[in-house]
Amino acid sequence: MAWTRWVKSMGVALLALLAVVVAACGSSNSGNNTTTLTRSGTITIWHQWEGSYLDAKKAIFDAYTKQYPNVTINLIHKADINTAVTTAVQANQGPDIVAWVDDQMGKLVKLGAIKSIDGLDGVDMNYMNSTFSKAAVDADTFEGHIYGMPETVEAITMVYNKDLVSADQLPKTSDQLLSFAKSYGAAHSGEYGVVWNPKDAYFQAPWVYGFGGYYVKADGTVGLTTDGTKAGFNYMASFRGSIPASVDYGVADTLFKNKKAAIIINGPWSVADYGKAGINYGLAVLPTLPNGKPAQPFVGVKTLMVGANAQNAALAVDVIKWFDNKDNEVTQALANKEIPANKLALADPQVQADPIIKGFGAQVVNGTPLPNTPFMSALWDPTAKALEAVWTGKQSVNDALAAAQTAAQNSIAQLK
Amino acid sequence: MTVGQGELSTPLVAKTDEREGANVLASGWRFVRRAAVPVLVHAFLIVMVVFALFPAYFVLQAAFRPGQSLYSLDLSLWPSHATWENFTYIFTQIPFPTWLRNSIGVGVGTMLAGLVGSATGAYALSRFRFAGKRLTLITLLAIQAFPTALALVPIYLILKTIGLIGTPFGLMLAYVASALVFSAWNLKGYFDTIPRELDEAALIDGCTVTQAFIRVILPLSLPALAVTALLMFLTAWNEWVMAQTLLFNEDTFTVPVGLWGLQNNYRVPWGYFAAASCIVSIPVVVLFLGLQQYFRSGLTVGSVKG
Amino acid sequence: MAQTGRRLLLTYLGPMAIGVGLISLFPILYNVYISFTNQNLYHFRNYSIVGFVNYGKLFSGLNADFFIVLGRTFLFVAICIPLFLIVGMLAAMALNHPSVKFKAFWRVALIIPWAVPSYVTALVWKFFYNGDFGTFNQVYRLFAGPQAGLPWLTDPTWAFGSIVLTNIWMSYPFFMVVILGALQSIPSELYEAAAVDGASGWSKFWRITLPLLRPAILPATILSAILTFNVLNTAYLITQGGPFISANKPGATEFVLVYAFRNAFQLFNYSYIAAFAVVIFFLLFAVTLGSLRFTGLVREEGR
Repeated sequence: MAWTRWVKSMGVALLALLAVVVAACGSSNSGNNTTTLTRSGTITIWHQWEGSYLDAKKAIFDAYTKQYPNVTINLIHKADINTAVTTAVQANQGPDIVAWVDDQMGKLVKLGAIKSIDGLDGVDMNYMNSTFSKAAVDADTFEGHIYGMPETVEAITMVYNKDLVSADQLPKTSDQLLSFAKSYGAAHSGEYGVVWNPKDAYFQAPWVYGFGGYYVKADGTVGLTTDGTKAGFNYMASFRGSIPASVDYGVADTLFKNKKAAIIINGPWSVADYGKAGINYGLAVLPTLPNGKPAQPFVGVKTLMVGANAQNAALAVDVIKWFDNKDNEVTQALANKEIPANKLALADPQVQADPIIKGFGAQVVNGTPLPNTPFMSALWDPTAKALEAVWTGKQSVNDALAAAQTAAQNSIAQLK
Repeated sequence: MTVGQGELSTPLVAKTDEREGANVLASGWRFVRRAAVPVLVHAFLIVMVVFALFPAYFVLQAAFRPGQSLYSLDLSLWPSHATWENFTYIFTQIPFPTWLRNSIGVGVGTMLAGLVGSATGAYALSRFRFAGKRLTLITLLAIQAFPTALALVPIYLILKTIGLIGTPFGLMLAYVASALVFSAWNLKGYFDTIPRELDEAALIDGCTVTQAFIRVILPLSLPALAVTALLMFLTAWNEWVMAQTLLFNEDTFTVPVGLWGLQNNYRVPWGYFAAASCIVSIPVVVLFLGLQQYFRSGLTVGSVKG
Repeated sequence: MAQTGRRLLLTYLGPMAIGVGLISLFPILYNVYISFTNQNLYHFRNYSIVGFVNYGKLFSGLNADFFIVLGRTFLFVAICIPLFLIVGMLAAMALNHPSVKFKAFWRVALIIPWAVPSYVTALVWKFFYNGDFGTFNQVYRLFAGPQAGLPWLTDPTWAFGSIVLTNIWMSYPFFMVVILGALQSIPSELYEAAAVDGASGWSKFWRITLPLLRPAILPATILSAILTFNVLNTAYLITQGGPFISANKPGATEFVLVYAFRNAFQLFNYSYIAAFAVVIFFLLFAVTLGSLRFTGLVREEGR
């Protein structure tokens, strides 16, 4: 008899627990928007900044807390923001500010992990348009609401080793890039003309979008079987044999650092390390394609978003505005070689005079916005698999893209 | 320490053979075998040690290599500019000591709480008679078959409900519960091998059930308790998927979560990883050395009693 | 012993029951519930009950992901476990050989793979396997010429084998330790008696050593089989489930947990993965129960 009673009481306890938990899930959405600004409390920021890059940002937040001593700012580095934010917000333990790239925005909105900052602390479209560049404003609005404020703008470009290749030898067209890769490899055994990670959808974007293809549109239309996407894949595949077969980001990066690669296609986050490794590097825009258009890398906008659990959202917005003001944006830009999203900071003569910022800036002009639709999350995986299948020769470009198109469409159908 | 000699020691009385030549051949063969087997054994051991140590050695040399790159383009066995800078960095620039303290706390806590929970439960399953015992055992097994990683969100919701989310204590509870099932099975298997007459005699002598459990059963079960403890500690010590989801603040991180926090989408700070893993390996080796004598009998899950 | 009193029973079973009930049983029930909803990225909070839709997707055909992933995982376990056992057994027997001196040194050296955290060593193996710069192919090229290279991680079959190799490296110490302990507790008289009867070394192994090792090997094997089935670290960190030969097929090393992890946390397909987990759960339960019945454990319980 003891057993049946025990089972019954356990059963009742579990059911009660289930009810509590389900109820708690339902109600956790009610984060209150404090609209009046009081500069006291704690602001927690989850980010992926690191090293000297982080130091420059930390100094700016330190200046804020020095000016407003009632405010504490906690900076926490999160390796996997995706999982961390989504699970933490469900438990009402999410951060006040999430610092990430704008392509995650749609997803975070749908997951209820961030909230709109329309009207908070004087933030509206007028403020956004008057303060930030257009690409940045577009990136930080989703379905007509403002969900964050831009920090910096970034895109991948050609980084070259000035000791291995001179500026006038640099390839200007995609055909020249390919022949440069081939002739450089032939002339220098065990070395490579150009390297990047061809199995990554982000690094493949310049070719796909440059040839007129696309991954996905805001309405969920998948463009993997368009002619432009195919042309982009074919161009990538033509580098087989000129880039090490087992290349990934780490391999490409190591080759460039060890002077075994003349050119690497990489983003602003990488160049500080190249300087430290003693590489005398310069920047050049990605080549022009046979259709006369430039290769179009994704332009990502690093963005500070306000978490759904933020108790004092107005204060969070105030901190972001401080972080994004002209002086602070100039400081960050100069320290980290980043392109500021703030228009006034970008126009600053010191910023304009910096060759690295200028180099990446020239590339950003050619770029295409990183899609911030949540459908993009259904594209990364199949696109990367298709790239791998093509790169390793397991599938033809057409077969690989047809399979990826189906896979992406299926995922999107499940999302809708 | 004499086992295995069986393979070597040839019968003292060899079968007599009619032909002299065969006898010579046989003794020659015995001689070769006597000499060859130790050589083969040592050759095998050397191969195994190279296999076992090379990846570990690779971690060690990376800990002393300046720079954070995993890939090295040369085959050099030791960095030409060996440095302690990775060790200095993890102890001075990042809260590694705090993470280490949290890891030790969570590991030891998991071990102790897990031992208490599983030993009492296993004792009940081994000695008590109650209806539905069989069902309980089968339920425990069923639970063991459920992959913990898929329980992430529900565990999260529970810890949130009881207000322990984001704390090392909450993480410890999650580890304890997921280690309980295996531990209880293992201890029950061991308790079953202890003759019932022993605790029954204690009860006749006037001990309570609890006294019999503490004074008779537990001291006799030291091997199983030690092995169970080590396995539970290791679970907590090296786990990162769950920890990464259940902890939010840097000062609550365990070592694996803290280390993973140092990397980003593109880069793993390999030198720091290597230096830190050298340090976290030490307690495991020490624990193993201390407990290895118990391994001969401490693992009994699923064994048939009697 | 008579029927145990309720209070005593609760005192002893209570702590375990609460722990197991809260952190282990509840997640299973929760997963069953979610598996009947449509929870995913787009219906994260506003999900609704949709019935058996997710189960329908799982069993949509014999070439469905589910069967490929499950079949591959069982194959992986079936290949790994005997290899763990053989390598562990050989290492234990070598360590136990009377001609071996400095036993403590050999023993510590051989358990090192177990001590170093797997989330770090997995990355080391990833580097070893790299086709162009990895240590294995660099050494291989010394013999086979500068253009040669083995497709450690790029060919599906090779990649599967590479993950098996890494897992042997990580798992044999456990078996070695367990078997060594058991070997040392076999009374030497048994061998001496067998020697008098004229048994060969081989028959002594089969007739004495192996049967006496069985009680130690069996539980280790069950534990290891469960851990191997749930392999995540090595496969996820070394290959991310790849290599992928097509976008709509699971990768060659996309084992059950890797597949679940990718779908749940990269594609946010919560309800689908919940259904997947429920089915896997019942399957594993049946297999474990069957194997225990086979070894005679459960039969003797509850008397």
